[in-house]
Amino acid sequence: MRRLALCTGLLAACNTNTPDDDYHAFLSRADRARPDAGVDAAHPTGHFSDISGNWFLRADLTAGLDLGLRVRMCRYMESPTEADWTRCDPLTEPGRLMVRLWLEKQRIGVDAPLVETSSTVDEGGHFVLTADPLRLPADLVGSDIVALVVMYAHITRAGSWCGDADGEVTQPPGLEIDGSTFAATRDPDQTAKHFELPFACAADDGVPDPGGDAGPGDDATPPDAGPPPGPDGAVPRPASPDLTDVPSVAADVSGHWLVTARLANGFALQLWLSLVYAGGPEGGTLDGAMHKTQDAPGTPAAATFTTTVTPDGRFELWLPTFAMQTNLGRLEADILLSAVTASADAFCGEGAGQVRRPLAMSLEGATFAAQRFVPGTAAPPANEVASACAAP
Amino acid sequence: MARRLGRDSGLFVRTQGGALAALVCAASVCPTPATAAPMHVARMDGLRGDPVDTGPFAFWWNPAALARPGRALGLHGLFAMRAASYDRDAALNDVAPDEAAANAGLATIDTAGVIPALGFRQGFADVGPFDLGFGLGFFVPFAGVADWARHPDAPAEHPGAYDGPQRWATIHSRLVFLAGSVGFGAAHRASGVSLGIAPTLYYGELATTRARNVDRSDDLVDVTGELKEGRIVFEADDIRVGFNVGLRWDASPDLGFALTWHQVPEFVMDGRAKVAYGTADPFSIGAELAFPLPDLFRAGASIGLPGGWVLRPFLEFARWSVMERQVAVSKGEGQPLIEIERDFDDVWGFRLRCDTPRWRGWGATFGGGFETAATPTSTHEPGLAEGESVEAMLGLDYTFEAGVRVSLSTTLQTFFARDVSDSIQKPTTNGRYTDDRVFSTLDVEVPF
Repeated sequence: MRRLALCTGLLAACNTNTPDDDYHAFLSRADRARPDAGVDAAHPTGHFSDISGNWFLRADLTAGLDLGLRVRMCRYMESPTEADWTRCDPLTEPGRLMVRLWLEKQRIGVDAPLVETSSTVDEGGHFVLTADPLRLPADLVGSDIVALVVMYAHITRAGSWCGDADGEVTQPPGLEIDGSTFAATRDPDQTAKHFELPFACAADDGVPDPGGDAGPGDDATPPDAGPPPGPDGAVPRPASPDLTDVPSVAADVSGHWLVTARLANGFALQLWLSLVYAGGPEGGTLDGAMHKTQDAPGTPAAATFTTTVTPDGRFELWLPTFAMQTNLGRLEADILLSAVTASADAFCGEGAGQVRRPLAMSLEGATFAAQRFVPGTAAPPANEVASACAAP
Repeated sequence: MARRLGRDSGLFVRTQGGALAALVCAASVCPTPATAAPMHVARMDGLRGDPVDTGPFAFWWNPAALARPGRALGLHGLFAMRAASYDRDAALNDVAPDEAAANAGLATIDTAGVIPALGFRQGFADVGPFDLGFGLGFFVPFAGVADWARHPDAPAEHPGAYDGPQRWATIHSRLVFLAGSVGFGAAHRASGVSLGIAPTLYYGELATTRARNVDRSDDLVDVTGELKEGRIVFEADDIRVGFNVGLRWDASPDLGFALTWHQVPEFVMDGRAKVAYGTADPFSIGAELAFPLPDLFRAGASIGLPGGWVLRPFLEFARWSVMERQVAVSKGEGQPLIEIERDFDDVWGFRLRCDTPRWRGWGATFGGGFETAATPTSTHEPGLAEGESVEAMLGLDYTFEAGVRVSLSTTLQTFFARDVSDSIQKPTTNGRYTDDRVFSTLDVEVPF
């Protein structure tokens, strides 16, 4: 609709370069793991080969669904008959494919396909598969799912194909697809079982992980990504931020908290913290768990901790080798949070330490503030809530 | 000068300039930045387009003029070219010598394209003491398209450098506002006073990509030597309603005065951003960007002189101070994704046009103009920024016996070269800017 409006207004030839193309061209030049069809074929990350035939595609959707699909791919024909699909001409050179998708429980050539689409494989082995709509029946996941799924695939050196996917779930609303991964395995006899197969590209550019347990973000780990060990092999604890000028009071901070942190460079981050306080006038202890704000109640925590609380409500959390999956990929950091308790409904403080992945960043100068939170509800935007202690 | 890579003709093209540019661009259709104040490309009716215009595009220029007997259809085409440059100074932007080849130097852009518009008006005489009329049309009031030249000879070890040294501010942006308007006018014959209003539906679409680091630096690599430079592309759109209000007083057949207020809504561009920071996994996220556009106030006069000469002075005020700071944020978390300092100033423009006496159906118009700067030097950047400019214009028209009028015009607009050394953008955008534009119009008015 938007493109139609633009074309109508400008009488423009619309098949042209866009800012989005420039974005993907950069990813390709930077030789990122994410493949993208049709961009900058001079810097391919895939390898063209004939991928016609039957495949089993296993996808790990970020919505939490482990999905198996059967795929038949043949050289493209206009208005193909069932005989054309059965013959299935090979793709001997880069060009267009016709593609059909079935559920794992269905039979290729017997059952009606779930989706019929086409795609073009470029010289670098990139192609995009669009399933629009992809309708998954209720017996698969408990309720009907209707989604637009775009799979960005590339052919690996081994002649298989894999990649990641994005798109939009239209029913039920609220499910995420972006960041999903998939990998395909040849399955001429339709005997593959999805739990035996990989669902993501392996780290070495395109060979599906034979173990199949490489989750998103586990690839491309820099060789120096591990925590810098101290003399005894432990991660050295940074110096605690000085909060002596910030008043603090003893209070029961048990409950759920939305913690909004802002790094010195302005970057903001929000977490959901669950705390259980046990103590009295002499101080006490704090047991806690850390989640993403989007996590549903009951979701396993990214980290758990125990710390002590001073009689005036000060406490510190030292989380060496902390790891969590985020929008930026896998976050790995050594985090020290020094906090003061402002009241039973607020605590705040400063941070120290180092983020190692996905970007190297110091936590020096980072601040945070926490407010009561109801898990499962939408967190207020980070720029609309406090992210530091109020000035004394 | 950096070499340029050809792209498909289409919404816009980049060219090597000169005659080749004209040939290539004539085959393409695209909006281009901009005139009057940043992004204004409404030049319907050529050099007649001002508050005293009575043509088929009066719904935009001044809907009060719709209240005139007669009926006419107007077809408009704007052919625009722009040649601009930004020389990012290494010393002024604290670019290390070993990164100068990737982060400093000359960036250029040559853009051309065509913007069409369609207008219609119908007037009714002697409705009691009034003349009445209405008009409608489709047009592009604001647009800005910029695809900066690529640098294939940039250092290959820095994959971002290919997109040019201006890439931290913009690589490729496309901002287009389409509009449809229906206007009504009423003129009190005895007093010569007319009033008009034209509600206008705007559809805005923005797509922009730029280099982006999470810390807003222009670092190419991080402390470990890994790629730090990233990219962000933001695509969004919005629909809003505004209106034009016009007042006109025809003191005599040779003397008219007119005021127009263009109330332009504030857009909230709603869409998605794709972000790739350094070696982090790229991700896509819902995002939005508040995009205020200025209300425009125009005042003009038509002064008939002896011998058939007509002077048309025209004053314009654009309330660009509404553009303070632009931050594209992620939905939900409110994470800043793109932050651009603006701090724009209101813009004043003045133009004087002179119509020659008509001779056997022929007429000519010439004139000149001046505009103040919207952008202070501290926030000047290669994307949406403009300094002071002057312009000269020349037009020619012919009216056939059947009443069909064809007009051609050309306006040369040049912006005074700017040397910026106090940039508050992150990364800084200090350096030297040049910008020259040519706008040619073809208008056909068909009365029937």
